[in-house]
Amino acid sequence: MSQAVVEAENLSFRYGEVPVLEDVSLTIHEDDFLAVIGPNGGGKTTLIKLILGLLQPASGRVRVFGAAPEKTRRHIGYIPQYAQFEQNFPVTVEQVALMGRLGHTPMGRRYRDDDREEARRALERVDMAHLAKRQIGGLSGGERQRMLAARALASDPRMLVMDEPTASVDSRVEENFYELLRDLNRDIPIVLVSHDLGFVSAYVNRVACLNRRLVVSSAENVQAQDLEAMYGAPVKMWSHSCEL
Amino acid sequence: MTLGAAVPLAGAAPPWLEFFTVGGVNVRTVTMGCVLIGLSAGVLGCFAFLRKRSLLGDALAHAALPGVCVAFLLAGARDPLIILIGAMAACWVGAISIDLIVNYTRCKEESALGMVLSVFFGLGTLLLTHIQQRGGAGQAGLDRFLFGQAAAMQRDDLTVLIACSVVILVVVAIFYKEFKLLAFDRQFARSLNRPMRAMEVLLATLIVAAVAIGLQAVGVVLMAAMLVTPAAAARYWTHHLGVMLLIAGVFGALSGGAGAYVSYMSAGMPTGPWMVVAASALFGLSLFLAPEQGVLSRWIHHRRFRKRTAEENLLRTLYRFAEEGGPSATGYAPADFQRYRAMTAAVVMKTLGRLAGKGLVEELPGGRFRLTEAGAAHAAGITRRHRLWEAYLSEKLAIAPDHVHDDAEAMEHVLTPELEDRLLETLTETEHDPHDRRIPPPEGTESGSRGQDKRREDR
Repeated sequence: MSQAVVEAENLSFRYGEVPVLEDVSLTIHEDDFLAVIGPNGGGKTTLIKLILGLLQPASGRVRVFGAAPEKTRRHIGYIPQYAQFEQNFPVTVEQVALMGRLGHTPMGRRYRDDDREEARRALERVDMAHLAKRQIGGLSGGERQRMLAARALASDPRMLVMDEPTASVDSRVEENFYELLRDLNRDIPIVLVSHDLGFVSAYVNRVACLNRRLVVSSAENVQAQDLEAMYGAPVKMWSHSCEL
Repeated sequence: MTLGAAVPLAGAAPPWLEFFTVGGVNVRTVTMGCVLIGLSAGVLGCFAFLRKRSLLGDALAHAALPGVCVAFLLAGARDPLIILIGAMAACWVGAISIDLIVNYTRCKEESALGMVLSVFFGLGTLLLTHIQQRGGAGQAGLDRFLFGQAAAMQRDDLTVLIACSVVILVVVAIFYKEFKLLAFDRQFARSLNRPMRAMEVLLATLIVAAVAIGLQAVGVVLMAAMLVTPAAAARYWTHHLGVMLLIAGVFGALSGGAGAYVSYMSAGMPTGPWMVVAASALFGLSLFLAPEQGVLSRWIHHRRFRKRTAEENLLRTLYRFAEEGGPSATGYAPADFQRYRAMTAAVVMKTLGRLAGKGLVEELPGGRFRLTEAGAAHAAGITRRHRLWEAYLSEKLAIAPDHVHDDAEAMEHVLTPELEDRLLETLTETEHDPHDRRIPPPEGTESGSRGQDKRREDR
């Protein structure tokens, strides 16, 4: 049995009076490629923030690599939605990858040569080294995605966490990107939040359906009927209205 | 007291020169103050500009006015440090109000900015009127916070200004990489094991400080322009954030110097508007002259492309002539080209002249033209790209043969050698185009090929 990297026990969280998570228990193993799916407002991003230690649970507890999440955050490579940053920012691919080293460089100190080396290696891993000097404005959707993956890898993470990583790219790019993730998954566990179960299920080995409460199953076993029973609505309805 | 009062004495330097030479303590004070204001606002403005929060600077500057008045009322005099603290405090209250409005009401950020700007400014104007009606010592000069009057700047103002600018610039230099990440991707920054929230507060404080120190010289109404305009201008010149900060700082400093100069030259002239005019002029220059991104450079680029397109079109037409009628010893007259190309006779002549200059066509007696060997190879390359693209549209996208020509007409000028290779790999039919014309083979693959494809050489 592989080792547990994330152990969440009976997690609850509320924003003011609104309960977002109720009694969520989840274990993520070393070799997992886990997709967290669920309707908008179902608590997916909240769960990720709890794992990153950006929020504290109202009750229950999370352990990441056997410690409190805010202490282990530096071991997690986070890939946010790329649609959220300014496409015309004056920065090169190389410099973005280097930002992944910021958590390993003291505040107020410049990046060192080994940071640059690490960033370059990360770009090579995602097949982006040839575009290192490019301005990000000139990248395609798929290249931008890989750049963000490189930035996460540059911090030498023990787990990758991503939030709707392919929300704004076409399906061919999405496919390539998931293939890259599957390669990376040979070395580290990956958790991703997605709205599109149909596509994701071909690559992940487990699926967690989250709508305040959580049901985890292996990827092959998720049935549309299960989801329908859980959400009380046809699956299509939420899978298309779901966005973060 | 005002700067413009300098009247040239007999034998002394004229006032426009005096500004640069003798000056006088007050002139130096004011100029240095304006330069520092422009410098720090320019540098900090880059972060606000890149985060698309330019309007925030405007709201903050206006929000400072009640703070200035309250500080004056509390201190009972015009103490620069207390007024600065008052201005910064009011800016912060304004910034927090904007956040609260966005988070707890249905208002979007732009509405919140508008509300805070007008409410705070209204309150400030009210207090200002109250102070002026009350009269009393030292109140003179307070109304200059509206449009700025650098001439009113005193020694102690400058001391505060220098201290603040130095702190601002040093902190930016220290935390450059943190601020860069924050401006670029806040979400990712927060996921790191670093106190990035504190960094956000620090960056916001620096922006507030840069606004607050400029209020007296530039005025609350125009301070935002000093924050945004140099940054917007600097963006045209570089793709590197560090260089952008530097250029924006220099532009800001130049604008400050220019504002002080005009203020010195004509009595009572407000400094703020002239600083903004200077900054806008620099922006205009950048917009037109910047390499790569400037209007002029784009225009030149566009013109070059059009010229090249015209040249390639004529080469391809000559290739067609040769293909249809065999090699012509007598060449072709400009009018022959016009039957196939929508070009005026003058443009045809000019283009042929350029081609002759490049050795791709030669002029025969009687003003007729034909391809040289190099020209024939070049023309074959263009024709190959044109027909390969037609073949691709027809074979892979199943577009009818009579609909593929116009698209290929554009693509023949922009297809890269890499794409051309990909097309050759992808297509099964690479011998003939959909109109059953022969696709010229790549250079060196058949005995008949002559010389090098000029275009490939150029790349």
